[in-house]
Amino acid sequence: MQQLKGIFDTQKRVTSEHQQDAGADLKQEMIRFESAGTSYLVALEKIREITERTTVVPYPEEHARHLGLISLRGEIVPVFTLQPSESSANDDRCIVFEFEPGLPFCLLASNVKKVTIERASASRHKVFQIEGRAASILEADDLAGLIKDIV
Amino acid sequence: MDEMQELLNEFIAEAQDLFARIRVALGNAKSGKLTGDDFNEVARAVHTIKGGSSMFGLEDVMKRAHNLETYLEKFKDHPQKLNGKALDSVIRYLDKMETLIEGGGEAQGDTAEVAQSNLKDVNPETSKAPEPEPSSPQEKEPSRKAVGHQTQDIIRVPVDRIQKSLDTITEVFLLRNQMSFLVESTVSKASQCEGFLQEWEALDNALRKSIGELEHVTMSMRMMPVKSLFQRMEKTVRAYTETTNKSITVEIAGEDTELDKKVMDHLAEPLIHLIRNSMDHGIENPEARKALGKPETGVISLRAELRGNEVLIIIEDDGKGINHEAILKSAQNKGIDTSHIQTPEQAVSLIFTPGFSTAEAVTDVSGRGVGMDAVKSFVEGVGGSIDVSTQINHGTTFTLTLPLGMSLIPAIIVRINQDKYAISSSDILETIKLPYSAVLENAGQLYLNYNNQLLPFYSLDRYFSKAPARVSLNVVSPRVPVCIIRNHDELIALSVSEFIANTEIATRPLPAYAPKIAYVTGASILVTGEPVMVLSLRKVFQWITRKDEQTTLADERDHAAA
Repeated sequence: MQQLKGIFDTQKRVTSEHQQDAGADLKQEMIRFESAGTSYLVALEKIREITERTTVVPYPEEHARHLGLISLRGEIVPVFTLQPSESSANDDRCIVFEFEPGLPFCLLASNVKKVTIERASASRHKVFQIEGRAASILEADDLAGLIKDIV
Repeated sequence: MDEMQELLNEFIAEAQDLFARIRVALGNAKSGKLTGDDFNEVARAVHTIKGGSSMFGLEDVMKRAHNLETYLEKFKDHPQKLNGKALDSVIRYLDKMETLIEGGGEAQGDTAEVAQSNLKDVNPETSKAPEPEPSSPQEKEPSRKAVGHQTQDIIRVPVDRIQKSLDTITEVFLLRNQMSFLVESTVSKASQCEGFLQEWEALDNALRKSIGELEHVTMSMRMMPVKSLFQRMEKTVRAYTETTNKSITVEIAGEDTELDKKVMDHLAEPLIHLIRNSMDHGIENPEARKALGKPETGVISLRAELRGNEVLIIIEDDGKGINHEAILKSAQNKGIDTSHIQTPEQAVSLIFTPGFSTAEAVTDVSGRGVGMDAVKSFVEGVGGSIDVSTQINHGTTFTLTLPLGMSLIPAIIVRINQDKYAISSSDILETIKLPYSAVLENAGQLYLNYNNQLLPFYSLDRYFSKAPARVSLNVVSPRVPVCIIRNHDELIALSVSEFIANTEIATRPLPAYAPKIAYVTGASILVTGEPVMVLSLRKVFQWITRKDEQTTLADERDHAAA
């Protein structure tokens, strides 16, 4: 759960830590999304696809942050949430990641939008202001580690 | 992996096939039926191994193969005289060669020159041929046709390519199911389309049949008889008896039973663990056996049986059995929680607990400790399960229940609370709908009156519910849908909310990132396109039993604390 703690610690700093490196000129396409009121940014290339939320078949037992399974055109994909499961009711999109070939997983989210930011590494706390709101970058490694941690 | 290593791996795999062929041919020698063709098959295989070893610089293997060729040359004109000690020495020699090749050709211990002396010096010109075993008239002339499968041309296909083709077939099958569902649900709304529906159904049935055949053929490419695996185990026992004073024979049955190669690859290690434990700690030494009135030679029996969509691998010995009291005591000494143990069977099952397996445990409790948790993990890792039954001084039986590997299985779709689940039909002895009046209660346990027999009854609605609610016997409901299952020798009744359909499903493993739930053996897609989890009712029952025990204990502790 270390990575999870890291992400949430980052969120706490959002309001006071908006920093950008003025010298950075590299732009990066990201997907901004929200989960239970928190905004995140993920590099576009880490995302396989984004679909409308579909029926999630729950597991017979409750497992924290594991919501269940969905069928993605016949492919069975596990669904996670970054927030407690009861907070995910308003998430209307499935963001499908595939860090390892053949091992997709889906995160439920809302307010999903493609944005372009300046070079991400310039921000010490990986926090950006997007359309007047702060959003923290969820690095692929963090997310992959987080999912593995949950599993 | 560099090219040379890849070629070497291919050679090792090919050599393993050749050893398997040699063993099949020499199997006929054991029964005195070694034909000239069998002999030539052995000679050709040894020669091929020699050539390959030379090519890869496996000097020691090459020399051994050469020695064996020279030795076999003596029997060229009298193949039926390759028997008795000579045959035993050839088999042992081959065992060592195979072990050497599997280890990359590095000689451990004796050299090829020393090993040569292990081949029994016999003169086929003067030795007697064995009396062939009595055989039926039909068996007198074993035709090439009868053993044709041994000489079939074989091509090597990477497993992932076969898997890809199976995945595609599964996709086609699912699409067909969904199209069929779509057409039927649309046509049912328009009665004038009746003619269309009939034609559609005819075509659909033909398509369904073809997909089934295609699936079967492709699946069979992955299936292999367990024979080679059992022969490896036999080899392990032979090697063991050479170094100890124990005398053990291996009895094999059902070796033609086929299993998915992937499952089989996972199986070698746990089987070796079980066999070693049987040899080391199960089978007594000859003196002890004699004192107990047993034959001096112990028996380890390996059996494979096909049961529904599962294969049972049974490893049985006639050794000393497992002392459940000693197991319990040993577990307690190791700090393992044994508070839930109520029966001798549960105590014996502690051998599968991580942390139980230590050398000390093995010595203290008549063995069975080494790597049993690892064995369980291996078996469960391929979607199987393991059971143990034992009787002091009579022996121990381990039963491994493994998925057959077939992807299309007949299944029953049920609803439990709000969610649908698939259950393999082979898991269920009978589905029935009985009035609630057939459910009786005694001391907090529910029973189902099934053909005047009271079966333990569990309502899955209650156990799968996120907000558990006890089954009320006052429910005014017409009938309760019940699945009757067998757990060991006991019949169990498990009720669901509704039987939805009988169908065929294409099972897949749960995705890698899904939580591990012991009784969910896979997932599938229904005709409606929804995913559905596949349950093993036997494992569900085991989970329920554990859950109930934990709840009872917690209740008792609360009560004691109050």
